[in-house]
Amino acid sequence: MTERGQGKRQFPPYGKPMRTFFSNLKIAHKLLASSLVFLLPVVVLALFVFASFNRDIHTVRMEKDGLRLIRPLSVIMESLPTHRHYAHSYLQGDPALLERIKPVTGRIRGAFSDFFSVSDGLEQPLRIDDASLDAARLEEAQPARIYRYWEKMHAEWNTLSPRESDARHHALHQAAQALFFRIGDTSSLLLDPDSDSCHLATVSLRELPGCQEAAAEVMLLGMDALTARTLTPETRTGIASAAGRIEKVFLDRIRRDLETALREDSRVNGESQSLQQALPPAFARYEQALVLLLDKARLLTSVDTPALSPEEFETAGTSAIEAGDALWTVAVDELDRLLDLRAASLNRKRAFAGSLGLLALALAFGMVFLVARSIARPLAVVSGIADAVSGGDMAGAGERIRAASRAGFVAVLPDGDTRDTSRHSEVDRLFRAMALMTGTIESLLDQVALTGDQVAVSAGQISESVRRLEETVSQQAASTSEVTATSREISGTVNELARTMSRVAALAAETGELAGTGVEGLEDIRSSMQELTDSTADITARLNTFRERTDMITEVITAITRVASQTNMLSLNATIEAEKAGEYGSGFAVVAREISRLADQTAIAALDIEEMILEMQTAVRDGVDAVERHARRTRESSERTARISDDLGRVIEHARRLGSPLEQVNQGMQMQSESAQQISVAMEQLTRGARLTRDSLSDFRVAAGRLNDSVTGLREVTRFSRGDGGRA
Amino acid sequence: MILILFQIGADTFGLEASRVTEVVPLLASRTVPHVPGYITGIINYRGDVVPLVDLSMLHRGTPSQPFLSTRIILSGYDDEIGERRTVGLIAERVTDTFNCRREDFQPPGVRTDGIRYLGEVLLDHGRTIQLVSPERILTREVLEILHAGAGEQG
Repeated sequence: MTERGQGKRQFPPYGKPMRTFFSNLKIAHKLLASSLVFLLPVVVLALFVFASFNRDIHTVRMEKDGLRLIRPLSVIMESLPTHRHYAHSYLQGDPALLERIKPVTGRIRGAFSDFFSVSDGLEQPLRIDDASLDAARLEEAQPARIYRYWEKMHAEWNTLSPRESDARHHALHQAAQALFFRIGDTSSLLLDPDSDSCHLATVSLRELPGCQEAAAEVMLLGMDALTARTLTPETRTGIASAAGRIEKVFLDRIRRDLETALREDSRVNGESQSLQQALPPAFARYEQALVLLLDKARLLTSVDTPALSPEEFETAGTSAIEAGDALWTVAVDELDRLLDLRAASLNRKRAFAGSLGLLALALAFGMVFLVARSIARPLAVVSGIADAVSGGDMAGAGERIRAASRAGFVAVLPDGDTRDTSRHSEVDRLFRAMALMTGTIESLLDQVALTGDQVAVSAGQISESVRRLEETVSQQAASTSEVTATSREISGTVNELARTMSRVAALAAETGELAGTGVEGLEDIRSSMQELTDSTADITARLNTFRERTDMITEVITAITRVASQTNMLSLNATIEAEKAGEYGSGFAVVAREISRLADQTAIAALDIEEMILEMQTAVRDGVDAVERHARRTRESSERTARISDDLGRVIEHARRLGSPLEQVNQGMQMQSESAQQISVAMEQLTRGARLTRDSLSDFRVAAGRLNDSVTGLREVTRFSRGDGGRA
Repeated sequence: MILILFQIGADTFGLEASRVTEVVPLLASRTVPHVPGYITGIINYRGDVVPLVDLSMLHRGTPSQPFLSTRIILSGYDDEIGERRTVGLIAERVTDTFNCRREDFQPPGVRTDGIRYLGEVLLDHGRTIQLVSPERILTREVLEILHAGAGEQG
């Protein structure tokens, strides 16, 4: 993270380790992790689908359980009015009914035992246990309580008043009905999701029981009236009302619902053959029996004294009720069968969805595995090639690339065809880039090797130059020491000259004095003249020696100048070689330039010395001329001395004139001495220059050594391509 | 880049060091008859016959003076058939090098159409250095003479 990251995006402290962890994972693991993340919602969805299927299947089971409970309950509900009727009549004083009430009691009792044998374990799921019913404010509908109520009523039924008996029967019927509807609700029968079973359930649970009840009311009221042979207005109204309910309400609704159920049946879970075949005839029989009963009821209520026996009316009523029972049994059986069909269908769908999901999952995992493998394997090969290249094993890298193309990883294109790479996969392109890279590196290494050879040649030439330079410098040192020796000799010669000159000057002075003293000193003068002539010859000889020495110096100076020139030229060539060696020679070029400068200084110093020598030679030549002139005059003087007796005055003048050339000679001597000193100074400069040159040479050697090291480094680089000649 | 400096008369010129093979002292050369005056002769340079051209003679018609600093600059060039050839250029005061950058040069400011070998100039502390292209020093005329000689030899 650089400055940009600090400003805007601050990752939480655990973000970085997590990202590091993720970036360190292998591609296969990354793909696996991604597929797991994608799997999560898929699994959740599948669970939802399964839960939905399971819920539907559970609902079907609940409905079936509800049906099992409702069968005995409906028997109870249907038998109770009959029981009440018989009990009522018995209590009003018809003992014949005692025999008829017993089978009804037995039926109710059997229905109760049926109910309790079935209801065991179903109270909780169907919510008809005591607590659930209490919570729903249906305490009177608790099955145990109903049973106890029934047992109590059954135990004391013949001691009750008819009104009390009716009230208790009614209460019991209400409680049973409440339980019936409760089960219808909690088992979802009345809220059935399919339209055919829903309508069938409505008929079975709501309409048919109501209709049966009304039919029983009609029958019982009619029988009472026929038995009593009186038709009270209340009875008439009750019969008319019940008949009207049957005719106007229930029959229509039952017919409509059954028709709807039959029609819808084919659209839900396929057509049920038994439903289509069994239901219409059962309903037709029921309708027929009801119409018969209603006709008789209309006859009963329309005339005051109908020609009807109670038995006839009872038969009609019983047949209608029995037909209703038959229809109810058929409807409930068919409902049960429809629920079975639905459960089977749901189970099939669930199995199908489950197997489809598992298949898709397996396919997805297979795809992930294949993709991961197709990426990871070529990447492993590529990274192997990259490792080989980074380790310098170019031959190994080439071998791996060829092995990879033989294994079919890369679609190797013909050389030069690098245009259309978009058709190939990224891995293929990576391989091709690797191969190209390896080739480029190899050719580059060849070039480097070539360059290394060239630099090595340059380095050899430079070493040669150094060797020659060293020779030159030692030569120069020898010349310098020679010059020093010569200079020392010159100094000695000059000193001797000076001594001689002072002696000459003293003699000249003495001559002057002697000339002043007269003729008697003439002999002395002659001998002095002779001495003067000898001294002059000596001076001339010494001056000649001096000239020879200065000539030698000139030669040496010329040698120095030549050496300096040669040094300069060598440094020029060294600079040229350094320029050709490029970057490696830059340090060397500086040293070469420095040597060139020192050589120039040496040449200048040598030129200075040459000039001084020339001046000195001029001075010496003047001195020699003066001495020769002086010698000539001395000779003339000594010749004249023989004739001097007559002309002493001229002798004195001669002697006086003698002072002036001697002064000139003295001056020349002075200049020579100064020149010799200047030569010493110049020689010191020359020595210093030589020392500096030697120092530079050692620098030079260091630079040359560094150049050699560079060449060695270059050779080290070339080891890449020279691995084992794998490419060649 | 590094220049090898030399003088023709009082003017200073520079030759790129990378184009110079070697600088050698003024060697005795064998004269060749019936050639222009600026071709001094031929020398033996490491087993090769190399013609010598006197730059002072070529440039202003007077021969180079025989100083110690008057030297032969050996420079390589490619002839018209691409063969590598060497020519020796005699110049005065071949003693100094000069370190400079290519950008320091300026156009000469004077038309030098007739004299192709004179290039850009550089001002250095009152001194004016003019760049010389070695392969252009030898005009077509000179090259014809030199190569004709080479052809007869080879």
